[in-house]
Amino acid sequence: MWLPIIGLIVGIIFGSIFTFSIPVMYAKYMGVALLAGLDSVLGGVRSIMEDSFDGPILLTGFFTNILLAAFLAYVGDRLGVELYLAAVFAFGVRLFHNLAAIRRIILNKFNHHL
Amino acid sequence: MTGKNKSWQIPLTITLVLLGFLLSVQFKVQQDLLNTLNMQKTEDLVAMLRNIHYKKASLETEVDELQFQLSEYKNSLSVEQTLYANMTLEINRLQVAYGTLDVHGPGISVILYGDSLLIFYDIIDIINELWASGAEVISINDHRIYFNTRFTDATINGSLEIMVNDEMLLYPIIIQAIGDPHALETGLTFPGGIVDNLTTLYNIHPEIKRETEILIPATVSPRRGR
Repeated sequence: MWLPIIGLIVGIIFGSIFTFSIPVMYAKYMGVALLAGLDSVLGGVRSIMEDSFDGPILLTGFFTNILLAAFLAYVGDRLGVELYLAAVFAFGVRLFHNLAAIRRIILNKFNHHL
Repeated sequence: MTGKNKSWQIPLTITLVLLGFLLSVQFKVQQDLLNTLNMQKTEDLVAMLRNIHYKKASLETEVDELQFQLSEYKNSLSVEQTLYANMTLEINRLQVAYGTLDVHGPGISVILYGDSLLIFYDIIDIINELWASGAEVISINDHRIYFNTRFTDATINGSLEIMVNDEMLLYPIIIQAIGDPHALETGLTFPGGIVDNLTTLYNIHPEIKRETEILIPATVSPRRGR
């Protein structure tokens, strides 16, 4: 239970320790990719709750979502179409969807115990 | 949740580590972006601009001051160089006068033979006349004349002899002077001058020769004859 949280903290610490920094012009792509990553993680948590968790699916979904979101934003910039909005919209909707599902599962479990 | 407890933790941890990494990197990048000039408040930018203008003005003042200082140093350097050249000339002149330098150049010789009835005042008169005519250096029988050369007389073996620095002056007396030969000669031979006087009053006939090159060595020791 605590291992993923510790992992998150370790990742944040690593990111702030490393002086590694991406160019400012790529910050937008990075933000969209981050949103996609967040969606994947929430999807993973939801699947754990639903007992349908699959490790490879989470990992591949995480990476493909990130890459696709960043790529979409990049192509959108090249074409002059704000395609990254599509990614923001799609992942945002899924984010809230996943969050709602998790909430519902937790509430159901709570009711069972009562 | 029970049997699969271990199998979901590892992949989720990996994704969360990566997510945390991305989060903090993005946070930093966004922070940098907010710190750029485009994102600053107008009042801050105005204040920054004013600071920079102030700094620029003060730096310009400093440049002016330093340039002024530089030109002052240059001026004082040239003054010092002129001073140095003047001092060198002065030292040279003083050394010539003091007798510590060999001097050579054109001049005249005055030769007085043994039949002359001279007293040491005559020698002094001739030498002073030469000084007055612009002689730079004078010697008499290899005695260079400098500031404390003394002329006296003494009776040796019953005859009155002229003494230079307590040494007997032997005939023929050769007085050599470095300077403009023409000026020196006319200084001695003008009517009513020293040679005229000696010739008409005492029947002394000095022989005056113009020389193109005379060498008068430095005095052996400046303190000699003390």
